[in-house]
Amino acid sequence: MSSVKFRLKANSQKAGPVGSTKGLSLFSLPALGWFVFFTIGPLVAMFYISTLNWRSIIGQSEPAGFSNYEKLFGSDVFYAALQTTAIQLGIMIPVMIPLAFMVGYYLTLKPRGHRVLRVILFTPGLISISATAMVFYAALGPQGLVNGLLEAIGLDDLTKPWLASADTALAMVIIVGLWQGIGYSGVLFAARLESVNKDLFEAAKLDGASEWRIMWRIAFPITVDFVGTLTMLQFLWTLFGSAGLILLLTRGGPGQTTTTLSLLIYQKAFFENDLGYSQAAGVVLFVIGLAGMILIRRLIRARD
Amino acid sequence: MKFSQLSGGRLGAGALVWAYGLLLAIPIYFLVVSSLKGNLDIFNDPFGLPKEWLFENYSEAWERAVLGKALVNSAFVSIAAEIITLALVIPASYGLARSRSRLSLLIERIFALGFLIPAFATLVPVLLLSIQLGLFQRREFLTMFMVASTLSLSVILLTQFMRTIPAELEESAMIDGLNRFRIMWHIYLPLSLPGVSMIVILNFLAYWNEFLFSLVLVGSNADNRTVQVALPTLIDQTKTEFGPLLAATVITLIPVYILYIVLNRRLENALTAGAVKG
Amino acid sequence: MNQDRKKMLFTSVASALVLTLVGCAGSGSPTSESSSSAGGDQSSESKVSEINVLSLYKKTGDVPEGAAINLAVDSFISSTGVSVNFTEAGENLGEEFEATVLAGQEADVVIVNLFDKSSGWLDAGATIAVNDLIAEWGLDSVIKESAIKEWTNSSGEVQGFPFQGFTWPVWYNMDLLAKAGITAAPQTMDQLIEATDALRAAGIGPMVVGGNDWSGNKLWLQFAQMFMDKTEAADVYSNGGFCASPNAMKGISEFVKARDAGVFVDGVEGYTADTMNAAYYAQDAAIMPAGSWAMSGAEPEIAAVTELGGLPVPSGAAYTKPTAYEGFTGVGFFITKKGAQKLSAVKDFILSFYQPDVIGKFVAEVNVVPATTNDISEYLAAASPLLGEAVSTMQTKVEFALMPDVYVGTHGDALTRASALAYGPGVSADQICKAADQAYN
Repeated sequence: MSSVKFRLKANSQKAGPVGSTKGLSLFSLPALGWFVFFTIGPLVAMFYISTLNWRSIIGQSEPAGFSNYEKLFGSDVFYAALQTTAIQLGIMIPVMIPLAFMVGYYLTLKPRGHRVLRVILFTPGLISISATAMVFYAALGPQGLVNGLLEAIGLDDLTKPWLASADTALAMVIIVGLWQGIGYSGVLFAARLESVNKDLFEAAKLDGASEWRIMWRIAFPITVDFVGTLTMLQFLWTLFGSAGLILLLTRGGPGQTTTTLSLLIYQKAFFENDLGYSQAAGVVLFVIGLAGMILIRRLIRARD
Repeated sequence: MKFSQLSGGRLGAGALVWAYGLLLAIPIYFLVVSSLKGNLDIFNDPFGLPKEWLFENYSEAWERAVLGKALVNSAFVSIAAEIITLALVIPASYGLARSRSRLSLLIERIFALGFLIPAFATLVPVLLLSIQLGLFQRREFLTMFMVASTLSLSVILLTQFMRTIPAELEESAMIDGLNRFRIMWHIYLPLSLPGVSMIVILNFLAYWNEFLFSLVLVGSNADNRTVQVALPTLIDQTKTEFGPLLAATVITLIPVYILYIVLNRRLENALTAGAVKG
Repeated sequence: MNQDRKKMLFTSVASALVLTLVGCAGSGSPTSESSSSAGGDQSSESKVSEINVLSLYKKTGDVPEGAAINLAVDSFISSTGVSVNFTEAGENLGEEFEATVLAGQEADVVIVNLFDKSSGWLDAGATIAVNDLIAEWGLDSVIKESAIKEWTNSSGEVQGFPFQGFTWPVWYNMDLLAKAGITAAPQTMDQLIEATDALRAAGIGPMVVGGNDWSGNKLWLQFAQMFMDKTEAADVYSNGGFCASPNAMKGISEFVKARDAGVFVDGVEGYTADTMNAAYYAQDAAIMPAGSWAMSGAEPEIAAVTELGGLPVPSGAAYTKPTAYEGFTGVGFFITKKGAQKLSAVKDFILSFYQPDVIGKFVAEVNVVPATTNDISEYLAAASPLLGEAVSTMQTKVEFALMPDVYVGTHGDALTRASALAYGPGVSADQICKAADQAYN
């Protein structure tokens, strides 16, 4: 009985409902219209402004063809930012997603204190970026918690200003990103895993499978679509959204060591008064995001 | 033997997860503790308990940043945006989850496009839009924009949740004569409450914690600004009192935690109340 | 085909909408389209009932400048009957102002310092030049000439009314120095390194500075210009080219030498202005370069043992005495295109700040160095003793270096990241000059 239900659930996509489906699309028109008006328009504008020579928003603008792109692709700073972004994503995503999944699975086992744990684990999502930055500044600063602990256990030599040292700043940014992502995604995974029929886990346990096997051989395949979605989301959030936190923690420094592509966009627009150039970088970022999204989709579909 | 293997692994996992949880709780502790200290103590003894408990940091923060008005503005924007978003997203997700037409696949793709937009790259065009609509520095525009900014995530996530609901439920309901709207309202909505709760929380966080657009679209006039825009007014060009700044930050966290804890409970109750029907 | 066409329709409608927006805003002067007060011209001036002010200064709450500002604003309101809509913007004032200009809803007066964003406003047509107004309003005898000069751009237009100035000396804790056996503040680089050795031997931090932010950046620029005359310094600050300038490289090498000799406290690259102040006030470090704004935070015990001086120079430098900064690009008054329509009300508002007792309050309670020529000696008594020292005895002990801000302009942020790199251990002069040059890329 339960295995039939399982199969039905997994195939719910294939079984179509009775009746025409055209009417169903209408349900999404209000949302679609709203979305297009506010988002697609400005997106197109981003492409357009990237072809302008427009410095400050109250200044004049004039058409500039592809000169912003020429500047961009000829700039060392751009390639450095590209590399930094690649490192950031290359480390963060593969580490975060599996760990978050495990945290989520652990939560669904409802161990003792899981209610409290859920609230604590979601903390990174609850506190604003500025609060997060203030806290990590205090933890990683020259007289912060980390250095204080190192001194307390006698490892004085290892103390350093973690956020301000060229060799550790990027690592710190990645660690903060992981700190944020694992708990947050973990709670989201837990929510999704709740919807999975627990009978399946019970059955597997009776067959003698360990939690580890259940987690990866049963829970994971059932929710693989969601995992794919969340991976894609985290990829895009980090690619586009990490700039806020980096801005507050290190401002892209020291030097260029923590300047990612999205931070470059912000810098060029707000600090260096070069809107056209900034939007050109935005277009490049858009393309990278699109490519990444397609790639992740393909990978997930391959697992199906 | 297998049993102890199980609990051993679970214990280990539990220890790790709780250790991570500690890493998450420490920042909150730091925030609260520092909000009651003066600058020197905050810098020179960041994680110790306050030597004097400066409760006046809270009243100072409240007055200097005019937090009362800011909280009202944030609440207005967040709640209004939340309601509008739900009204738009629930039907949309139902439609997309059930429909298999090429049109709806296309629509889903368009929503996914929203993730690809670097937020602050669109800051200037959106600003221009608000000016053109005559809604510059109005909370209404910010609310409308906020809704738009979370539509992608909400639609994609809720659609996924709704897809897990078996199609037979709808089929049997239609055989019973229910039209699609009633099916959505009476069957899909209750079953996808976990998903709905999730997007309610995520969206509220997005609205409440947002800074950049709130600054540019509404401005920093004390009567109109949201709470996140009010916070940096406590930062001085050259000398900041961090105690009141962190006190204000703690104040802005309270509504968020309350909402999350309340919704979390409801979420759990909804799940255990047999959301997965037979 | 149906859905593709739909998609194209959506995007073309949306883009048409946005393109018109961008076209409108970008190609013309935004304020020419602003629908401000109906038919706003001289005739409506007599009916001005309110002026809008955007300010970096705060008026509400328990802030040092609160009393002074309220004094000025209240006297304006009571003598003219015009009300004031006072918006306190924080560090994002620049962005906010520009957004309001775009919308045609900007304030009449902006109270902010002259920095990279605000120095572009006159050129963009958002504010008006005030050369004539200074004379008309009788301020030419009140505001210092050197201050007016700093606010004059390369086309000879004065961008705003200078109000607040600052000095930026190096603070020496003579008590701590004495503990290390040093009796006088170091005047030369060699003496500074000697003092460093002595201080470290006594377990005291030598010089603390916010290596990570603007405070460290300013000090680094002070080193960089040690061997350059002011013209060359202005050129390098405006256009970059640190690696290509032998004199700049000499200055940078001097910085590296000092850093490697341990002149800066350990972990200096992680300090900010706030933590720098905290360390100096807690007497963890003996030396700190800090501006007059920091004097309000210095407790009397610290002020009593502090002597103000400059950054020591090596032999062969372009300066013979230790160097310090001073300037008048602190807070001043900008009049916007909108404010120009309400000129007489704006005049009264601005003049209310230049009243001697208001200026006195700023001196006494905010430790401001005013950009005016009136006598402030009675107010200095109420201010921090350090301020009195800065405007009198310190003046002869130092030479003033070129204040970089006006020249560095929009490269400031990138340059600060480069100097943050420079404070790290083991970074070579070559790496530093390359990073600095990249800021101009």
